[in-house]
Amino acid sequence: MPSRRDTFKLAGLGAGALALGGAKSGAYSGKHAHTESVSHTGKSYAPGQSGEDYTPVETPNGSTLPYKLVDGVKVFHLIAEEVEHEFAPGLKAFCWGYNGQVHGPTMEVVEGDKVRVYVTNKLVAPTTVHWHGVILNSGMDGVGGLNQPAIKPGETFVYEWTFVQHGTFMYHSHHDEMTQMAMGLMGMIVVHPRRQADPAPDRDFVMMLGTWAIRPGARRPDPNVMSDFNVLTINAKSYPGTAPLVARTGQRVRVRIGNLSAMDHHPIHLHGYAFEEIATDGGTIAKSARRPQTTVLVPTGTTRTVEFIAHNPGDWAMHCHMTHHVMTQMGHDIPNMIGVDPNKLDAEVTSLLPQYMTMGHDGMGEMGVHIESGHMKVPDNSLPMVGAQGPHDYITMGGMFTILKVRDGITDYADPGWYDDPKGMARAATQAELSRDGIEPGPMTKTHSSQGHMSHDMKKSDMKHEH
Amino acid sequence: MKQLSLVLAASVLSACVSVPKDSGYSELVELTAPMLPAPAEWVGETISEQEADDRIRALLSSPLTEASVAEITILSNRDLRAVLTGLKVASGSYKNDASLPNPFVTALFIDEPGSTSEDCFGNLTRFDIPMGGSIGVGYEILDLLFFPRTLKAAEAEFNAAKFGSVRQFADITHQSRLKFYEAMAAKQMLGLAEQSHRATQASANTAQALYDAGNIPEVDLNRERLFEAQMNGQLMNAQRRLKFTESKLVQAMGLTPELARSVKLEGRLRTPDQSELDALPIQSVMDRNLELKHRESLIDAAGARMGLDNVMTFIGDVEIEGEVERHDGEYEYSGGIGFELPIFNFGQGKRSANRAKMEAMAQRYEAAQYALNTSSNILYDELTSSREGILLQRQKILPLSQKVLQGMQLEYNAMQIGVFDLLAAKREQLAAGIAYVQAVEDYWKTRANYEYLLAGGSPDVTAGAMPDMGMDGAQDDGGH
Repeated sequence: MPSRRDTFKLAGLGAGALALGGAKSGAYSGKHAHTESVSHTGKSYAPGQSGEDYTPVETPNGSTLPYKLVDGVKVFHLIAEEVEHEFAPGLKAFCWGYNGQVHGPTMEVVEGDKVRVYVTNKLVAPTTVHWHGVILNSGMDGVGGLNQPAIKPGETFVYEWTFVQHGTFMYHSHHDEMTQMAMGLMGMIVVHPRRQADPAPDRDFVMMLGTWAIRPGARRPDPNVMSDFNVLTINAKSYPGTAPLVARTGQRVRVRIGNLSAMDHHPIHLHGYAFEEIATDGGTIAKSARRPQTTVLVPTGTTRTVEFIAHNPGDWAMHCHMTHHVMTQMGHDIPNMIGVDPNKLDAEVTSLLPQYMTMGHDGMGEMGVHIESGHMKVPDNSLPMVGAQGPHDYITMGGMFTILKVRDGITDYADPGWYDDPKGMARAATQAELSRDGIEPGPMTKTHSSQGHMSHDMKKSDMKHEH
Repeated sequence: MKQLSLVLAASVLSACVSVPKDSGYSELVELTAPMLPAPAEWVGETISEQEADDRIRALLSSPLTEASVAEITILSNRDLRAVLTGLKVASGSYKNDASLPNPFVTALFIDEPGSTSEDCFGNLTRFDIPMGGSIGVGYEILDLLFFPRTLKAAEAEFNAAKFGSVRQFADITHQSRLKFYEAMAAKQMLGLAEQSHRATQASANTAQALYDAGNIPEVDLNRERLFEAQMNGQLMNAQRRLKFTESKLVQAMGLTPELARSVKLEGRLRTPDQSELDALPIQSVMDRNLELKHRESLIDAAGARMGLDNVMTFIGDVEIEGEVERHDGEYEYSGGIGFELPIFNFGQGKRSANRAKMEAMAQRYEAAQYALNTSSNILYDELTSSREGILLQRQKILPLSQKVLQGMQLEYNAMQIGVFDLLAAKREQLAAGIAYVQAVEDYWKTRANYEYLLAGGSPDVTAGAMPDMGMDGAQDDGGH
């Protein structure tokens, strides 16, 4: 049995041969579209090792699925079960996940690894697991009824295959998908190349995008909802529950984004950077085909991998650019109050409902402030329109929002806190500046002040969440 | 002769019946005490008109209560006074019937010429006035012989009248108690209806503001305005109901128009506490029911009268007469007896009619017993139902409607619902409040009727006519 060193030697030879022959890693060879860095025909490889064969990925708010090595086979165990999951402080729900977490832990392997995955079903319903995008035998594909009988409650099934590709894939239930995926039964799969063609990333992140429908005050997602999802997540967390992506200035950062939302695509936008989309769930994109972007569209049922050099230190928002996807538990069946004078309405309605306050007449931005401070009581176990206090003001974002934090010279990737911009920041213009540059702001266009109705004088110490 | 004297003496002795000096008023007070929250008074007898007027004004200076309504009714209601005056009528009749019949006297004067009189001086005086004539005294001997029976009949008739008066007295004051509950409930419900209308006004004004801002089309605005107008109709209904019930209360209390203006209905219909809601025992009411006592007395009276009639129609008239006649200066004495000869009519028709009357009265008495028994069951069941209705409202519906409103407020704060939905929730809560007031009104009226029944009254168990509130829960969220 060849050793790992032998494998690498072989890989190196192979790489050289490929280099000489014109590397076509990622190019469609006409044989198959999935990307392989080595040949798998008649070949077997030693199990890849973290830290040696690959830099392990980081799943913010998540974890990597552990395995045992049994006779050269990586043995994993997934347990499908009900899990009480916290989306963000203040919002919990009974979801379905794997191994006590939602979403399931990231399975991380190396191209050529033999894997054996035991799936134990502790749910009340039958289930299966489909290995999304993975090339394997038909009987292992996990579509209930088509490839296998469903795994009944209490049963343990075993899947076994060898990874013949590398890339970013996903796993999810393929029995009663509408229900079980809506409840959270999904996870990411990262297959590192057996032979590194592209430079290895310094920081490798995994993000699984999800959509949920959880009515404020309820404690379970509603799988029957088809379009009005109100909890949008990255790795099953909503901002301010999402952990930041932390990198050192100058590092190569790779972000693998999977989307198993029921019905929604997500254009993920990163501030402060342009990046390249280097891979899909089908395989690596040839360098000549890679396009610079600041927003990558991740359709449902796909993965997209982007990469960039973190040259620009700072705190950079990274979020879905569908504007309703960065607002948690926002109701939509409410009247449009923009432009309405609240004072008269307040006087009339508070005589009947003392706790009433006209809202929405100046947008939704200040809702989160009042809710977090306790001014405005909302149903228990809900985070409607809640964001977080930032270093300068309240961040009126929630949902599918996180922050890329790039810092100079860090070696520890724990949350470094807010970026302190040494070059200054945008601020209110002084009169001298206005005069110097000939700027005349002019009077307000509305007769009533949209700021005066709700006091926005909140201190940081009043806020519950700080990042 | 001796025996006749004995009979006459017995008759005279038995004529010494005591007719109540207060015409039975004290007994009325005693009988009505369990039924009234205030003591009975007799204006003009136990209290002067001025004192009554002063007392009424003093009571009207404060918000009405059950007790003050009863007291005002007693002092002011003219029908009530007429009932008490009726006692005097009955008492007078009793006195009349309790007196021995009078003999009748006939006097006849005859003009006889030539009557002279010589005085001691030998003067002759010619008298032109008649010196002849007769004086007769007659007596209906049967009236005397049957006087005890007549007395018994009169007493029964007085009792019947007395029970009738007591019943009427109690009925009138009981009615004013019921009208009080209705008026208080109407006032409370009006307050809630006003709030509900304000909620629809707020919805409509919000829609107007949205329309002015360009945020909704005109049809949505009109929908809200329509709903506001409909709720205004319900408010007017509530106002009409209050006026109606207030007027009925004033009428029941018997207030003059001037005093009626001072009526104050404030506060809320008292919520029954738990001890009042605890199940009331079912009791037999036959033995103390005034209506039955009244009918019994009527039967007794009729029986006594008919007993007399049965004998008297057979015997007919019997008279004894005595006469003293002066004729030609001489007195002549004579006596006689006269009686009707029962040849063709010996009272068979009247006796038959009397039997039928008694039978009819007995049947009516029985009917009254059955009706009383049924009323008793109906009222007991109604009281049980209304008690359960209040408990349901109090323990479940009201607390839940409050929780729902609080939950809706939280949902509004979380921007899951808009202001229209929130105001609709408020209207639903108010509707629950109105339903509760109706339940409390129903309970107190039913309880009043049941207590009245237990105390000897005969409450009317049929539903009265009353403008319907027609208040529903929120029907329209305005489509927003």
